[in-house]
Amino acid sequence: MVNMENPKSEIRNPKIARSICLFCSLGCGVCFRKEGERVVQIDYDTENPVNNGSLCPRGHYNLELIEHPQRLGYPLIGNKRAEWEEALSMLRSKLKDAEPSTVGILISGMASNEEALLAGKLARTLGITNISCAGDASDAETYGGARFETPVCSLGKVGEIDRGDAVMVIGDILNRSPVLSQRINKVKYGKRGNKVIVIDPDRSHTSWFATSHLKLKPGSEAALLAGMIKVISEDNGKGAIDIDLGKVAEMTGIPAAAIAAAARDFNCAASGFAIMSPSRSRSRNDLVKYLVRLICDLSPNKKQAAFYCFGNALGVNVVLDRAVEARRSFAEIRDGIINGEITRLAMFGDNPFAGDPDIEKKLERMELLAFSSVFPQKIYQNGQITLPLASHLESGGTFKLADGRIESVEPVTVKAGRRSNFDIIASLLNLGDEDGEKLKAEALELAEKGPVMQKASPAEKIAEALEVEINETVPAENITHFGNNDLVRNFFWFRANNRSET
Amino acid sequence: MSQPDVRIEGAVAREKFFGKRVYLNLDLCCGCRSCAAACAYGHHLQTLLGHAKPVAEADLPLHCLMCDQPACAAACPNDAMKKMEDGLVQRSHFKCVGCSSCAAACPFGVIKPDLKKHIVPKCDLCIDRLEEGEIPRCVRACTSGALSFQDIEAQAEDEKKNLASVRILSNMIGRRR
Repeated sequence: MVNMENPKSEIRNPKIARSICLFCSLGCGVCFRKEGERVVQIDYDTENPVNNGSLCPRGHYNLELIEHPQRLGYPLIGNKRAEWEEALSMLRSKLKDAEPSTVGILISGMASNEEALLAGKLARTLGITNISCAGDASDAETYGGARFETPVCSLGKVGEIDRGDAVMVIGDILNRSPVLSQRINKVKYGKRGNKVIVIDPDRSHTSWFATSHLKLKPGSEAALLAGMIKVISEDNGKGAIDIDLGKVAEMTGIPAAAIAAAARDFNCAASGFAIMSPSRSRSRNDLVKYLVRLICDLSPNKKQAAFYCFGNALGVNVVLDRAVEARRSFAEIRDGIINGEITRLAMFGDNPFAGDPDIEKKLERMELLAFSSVFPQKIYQNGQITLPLASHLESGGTFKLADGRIESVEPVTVKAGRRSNFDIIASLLNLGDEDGEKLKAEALELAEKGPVMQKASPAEKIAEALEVEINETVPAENITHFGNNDLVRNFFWFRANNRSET
Repeated sequence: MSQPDVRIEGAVAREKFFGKRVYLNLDLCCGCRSCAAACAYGHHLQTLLGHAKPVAEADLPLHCLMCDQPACAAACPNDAMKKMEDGLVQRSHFKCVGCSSCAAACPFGVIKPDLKKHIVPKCDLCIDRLEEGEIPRCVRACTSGALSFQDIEAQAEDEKKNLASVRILSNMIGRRR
């Protein structure tokens, strides 16, 4: 309400809308300041227990998902502006005409559980099995590792990280989710003797905080973890494991004594947390994820969580697994497009193939190519359908985040001219408004169940870890940063000059 | 209908922050640049915050120190930079001609000219937020808890506990190149 006495009162007492950020799977709280229906500024959610008000640079971009001047505002067919009905009927007819085996559906990792369920229903009615979550390639691999059965469920909550005495980090997590640094700092400086073990081929922002940094050869994470499992299992009396630490040392480039010391540091801590960050350059993310879970099972009082590149990658994968039987994975769909098996492709959310030259050539010759996206996409062909998307900030929904908690979000503003994936797929299926509540309940139920488990034997997986190909030619050099060094030069120039004077 | 003067209200609120400055604990900073992003989004996409990179991994924000005898104000040909009564060094948006004399004069490399927009942005301690009774954006957004907004006297005490020099030196010695 505008206070007439004070002309600035609306700015002084702004309306604040709460939501969560989905640019990584931590799910930090974000606030938006509103003037009427317009979102003016980003603000910080100090009451959210996940981030306690802090926000990383990527979190600030949430403002642009709503208020960016270059957002897509109307549907496009090829280069030309089209009406919603025209574009949707074209998409509907082209999906129905095709043979099910030639159609691929990809749904973004930032879509909500309900949208994933609806996409699953669309695939089931049309008989399509080529449906997957189109997050990062590493997301799909990591989720594959979460599906193998282990004796204990060791999935931990984000709030448990700073209560432990040890943290093991695989990869550069502070590059992906910097907000975790407040928790890692609490472990490092909390108590004398606390350990931060970083397993990363690069010197990174995360290794900066390590008490012991295992700088291994790129791609040998699985072998290193197998070596650590051997040490921990034999220390705890849970059975001998038949691998040679000498061979592990040779593969990883780290001495056997250092591996054993790091493993014992983690094992001897009263409680601890293992964090796995997503990385496309790492080979066999699924194996690494499985071995991390195995370490946390063998060692007492340990929890783990793997973070994904996209906020709801876990939720979308879980719901699709439950909704569609025997669906194909993201890698198989990618191969299918390259082979020419898949000739019609609908992508709900962003385009995961942008900048992939092998596939971009194929996209130009597709019979059907449809996107829904927040920002304008590259136009590959004349018949391409591009639909303006309302992001989760404008449509809301429930999301399953990396540590398994489910958050439901309400829309921040009204969507003008754009539609959410939920509305788009519902109109493809000719669903009414009445089914919305039922779908929400069903999606929540599916998401809470968790992934469909597969059987796996630890001995086989450990043996597999020692056979992973290691690419030694990739240089494990220092990270590069986008900042330029002008200020530093000024700074050192001043210091050098001062020294010479005195 | 009487209209209260907003500026006077703000000045009263600002008095609380007379002796407070942003302080960086180098031990905790993880170089994520959230402070720079928060600053840019709060000030119409002008980044008022500089960054220093003493070693490859550390990427540290450089806040304006609000000097007692500011070299930038002395160098300014148009009196755009001024030391205010409340202790802040402020830049006038109208007087500034973007000559970047202050950037050359600043002994700490904090001020950096924006060549595209032809202005010289400078940290204003987020006065708009201080007047609301909140803390500056960079401190609020800081992911690792490295930045804090506290009294100058408290900072001097805190500095003694800070192991930063040890951490940076040990890493510099450990490097090969």
